[in-house]
Amino acid sequence: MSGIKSRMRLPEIKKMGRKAIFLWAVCMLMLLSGCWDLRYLDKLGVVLAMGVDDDPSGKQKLRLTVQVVLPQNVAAESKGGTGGTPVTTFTETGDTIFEAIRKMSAKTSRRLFFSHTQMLIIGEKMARKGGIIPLVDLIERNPDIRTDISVVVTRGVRAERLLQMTTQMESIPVNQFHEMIDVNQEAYAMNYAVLVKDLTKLTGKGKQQAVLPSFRIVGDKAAGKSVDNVKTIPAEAIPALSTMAVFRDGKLVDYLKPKESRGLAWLQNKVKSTVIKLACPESKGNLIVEVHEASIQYKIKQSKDGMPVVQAKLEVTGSIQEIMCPGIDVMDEQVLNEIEELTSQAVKKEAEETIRKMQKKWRVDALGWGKEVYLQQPEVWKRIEKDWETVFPEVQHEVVCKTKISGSGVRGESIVK
Amino acid sequence: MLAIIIMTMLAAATATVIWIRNGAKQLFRERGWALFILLTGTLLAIGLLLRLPVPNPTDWIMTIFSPVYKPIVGWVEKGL
Amino acid sequence: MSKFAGMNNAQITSSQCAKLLFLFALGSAVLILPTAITAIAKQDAWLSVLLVGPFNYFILIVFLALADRFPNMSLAQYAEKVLGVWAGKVLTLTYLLLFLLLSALVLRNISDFIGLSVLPRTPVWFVDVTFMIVVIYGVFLGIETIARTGEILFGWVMFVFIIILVSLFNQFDFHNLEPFLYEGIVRPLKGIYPVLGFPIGEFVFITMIFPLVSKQDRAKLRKSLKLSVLLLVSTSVLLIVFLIGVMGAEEVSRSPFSVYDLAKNINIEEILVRVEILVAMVWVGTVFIKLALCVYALTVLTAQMLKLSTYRPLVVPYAFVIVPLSILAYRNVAHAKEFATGVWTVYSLFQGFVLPLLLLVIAAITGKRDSSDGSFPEVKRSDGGHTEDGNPTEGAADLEGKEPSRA
Repeated sequence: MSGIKSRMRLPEIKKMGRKAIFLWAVCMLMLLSGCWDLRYLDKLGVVLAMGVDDDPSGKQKLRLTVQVVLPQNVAAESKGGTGGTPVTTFTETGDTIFEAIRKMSAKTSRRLFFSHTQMLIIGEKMARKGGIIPLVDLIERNPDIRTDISVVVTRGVRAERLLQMTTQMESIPVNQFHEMIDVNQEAYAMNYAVLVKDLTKLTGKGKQQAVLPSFRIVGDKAAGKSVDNVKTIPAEAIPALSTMAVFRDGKLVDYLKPKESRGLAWLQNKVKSTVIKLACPESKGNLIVEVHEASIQYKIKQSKDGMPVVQAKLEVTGSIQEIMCPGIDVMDEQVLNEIEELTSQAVKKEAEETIRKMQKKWRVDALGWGKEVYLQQPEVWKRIEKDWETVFPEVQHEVVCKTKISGSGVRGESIVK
Repeated sequence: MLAIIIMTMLAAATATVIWIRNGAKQLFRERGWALFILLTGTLLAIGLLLRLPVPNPTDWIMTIFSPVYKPIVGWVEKGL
Repeated sequence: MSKFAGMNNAQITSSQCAKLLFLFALGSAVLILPTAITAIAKQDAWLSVLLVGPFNYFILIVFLALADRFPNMSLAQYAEKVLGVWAGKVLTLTYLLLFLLLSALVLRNISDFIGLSVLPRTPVWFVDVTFMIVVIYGVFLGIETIARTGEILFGWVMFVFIIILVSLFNQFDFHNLEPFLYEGIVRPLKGIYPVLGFPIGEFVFITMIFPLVSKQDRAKLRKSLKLSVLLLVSTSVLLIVFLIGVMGAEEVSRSPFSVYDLAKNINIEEILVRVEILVAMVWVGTVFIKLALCVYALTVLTAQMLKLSTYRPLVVPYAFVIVPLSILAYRNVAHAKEFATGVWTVYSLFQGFVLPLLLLVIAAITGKRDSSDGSFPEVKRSDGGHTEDGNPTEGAADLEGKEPSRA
């Protein structure tokens, strides 16, 4: 085919080409109109949180509640109107979560959309009986639900009930729950957020047990379902964080006491800021040290008989922020050193209380010591891995704490003399 | 059924285009081979659509190389 | 465009060749390989990738040696020279099957990925066909176009890669990589097995590309390839280090698309979130290059084996074979895993290393060297069949179906 002949056919080819492209475009139109993964925004029911309870009637394994946002009401509320509740919940029973989700379609007018789910709330009874690990498989496996959502457990209330609370500070209740955990971690460090990602990591080497923050309802439990709840000052019922809950093999064992819960946070390096109350050395009353930074370092050594010895070194930085007793002269370095000593003692005591509870009372390694042994002394871990449940309660430990008090706020001498 | 019809039409259209574009005598061989491969592909696709048991080349490879790869994989996966 | 445009006298530079190698290796290897290696070597998987580094270049040496002996011919053609016409054709047939299967598997990989994470309700064949349309167009346009696209994609890939690394810095936990060599050196050594299969065994595609590197650039080819391999190894090692460092060995070995999951973790102050789809886009780009190169190798190999004058009519028919084959090839996920991480290494190493090595040895023993031209016949030229330096116009003799004469 020489060049001349092809040049002569060029205008013909161009015409044919144009017709072909036009025909092709028309065919494509037929295919594009039914794009399979199309999802219209107003046909989606955006799920903000999921709650899993046990089924009280006992017929099915679990009862799933989803909190779905009602966008038309959120807008109305911000205009100070008398809109309805910003969210609503749907509940359905089933043997597995996915089954319950799909069965729920009998009650919803929109497809449930899980990409914005922020929280998984597990009811107390469910956590005790069924365990939390199987509930998490769907979240991992399904590409829609994200694995960086927080997981919490309830205390004294069903997850369904918690999801039906209206809240005052945030119009979307789940936002309030979600932020509460972070705020608490930064203020008092009694709770810290645990994500699904963290839960799945626990199944690796190290046999660490789970801990989850827990929620309860303060106030009139019966109220709280309607918007009237938030029309009074204070609201009639509010959700509140309780302490961390400890699990064994995914089943809830017990809740920690407040100081122990913070002790756990010390040991897990999750304290962002907190306040430590100290008894004044020379008089009655208390003073407060605000912690700005806290960190822990584990060193695992081997004892003579080849058992791991855990040495935890805590380093705390803080400043004195409230003095309610006389006789404290913060300008005296001696006094500051004394207070540093007292703080270290207090922190050490909290950490040791938690360790004692974990080791002796519950025999549960929620502190991650197995993992530390695995990382630092792999030879030892190889030997004791299968007996870790019996070895852990007997592991010797040593907690050392060093505090540094940098200052005392924006005042020097206290007015309390 | 509809899928088979559409696909056969598509194959026929492609065959026609190939026939026309390669009409010159020098290109007969190319045309022949192209149409042969096209036919194989269409038959394969129809076989799949009708859910006939179509032989799977991966299975051929697995049987041919099984004396070599099975022990190696056994060694690699041991102790996992 | 004339019928023969974009095919003969296609010239690519050595740096384009090197970049194509890099993108090819990154293509599906980065998608599925980390999972397989981490399942075997756990947190020492990065060591496996590091150890396998020299093998990358070692294999290329064989191909380069063959290319030195037969500078203008591709595998199909010098196989015939070395083994004789019929044995050579049989050998080429095995390579046909390799590239056909490879194209189908690569297509299957990417359509699996898109089907699972991005477009779950879309039928599989639609994604396949959409992909193949683009690949067909690319192969039609010829290796020069593919090489130029590769250059652009190369820049993008490096850019996105650096962004991933930088944004995940704050989530990198060095402890995830410990303890080092928990079970000794055996584990990382075992982890080399999947890597040998892909991409290393698949590097044989480059024997089709070597004759197309322009003559002036041949001297630089070795250096460019060395750089490419270096970059490839460092990128893979860094990627696996970050994968394990951010996600932990357990999770990486459980998730089939680990790099996508890695990108899901990118979270800078809640502003730069949910950018995993950008990673997916770049990924799709590299897989496209790999697929285009495989289909190109397939069609050119066929055309050369059958002594056709052009490869272009074969492209669309092959697409008709590749799409159903990709749906057929893996019955389910378990079969896919057993094939990809079990048999494939042996098969591709056999075709990609053992056979070329045999060819090289036989060629060395029988002393065969041939610098005649294997490119497709040129349109009749007005210079009377001879170029300026007195050699016959490339392939002018071929129009009569004769073999090109020794230069």
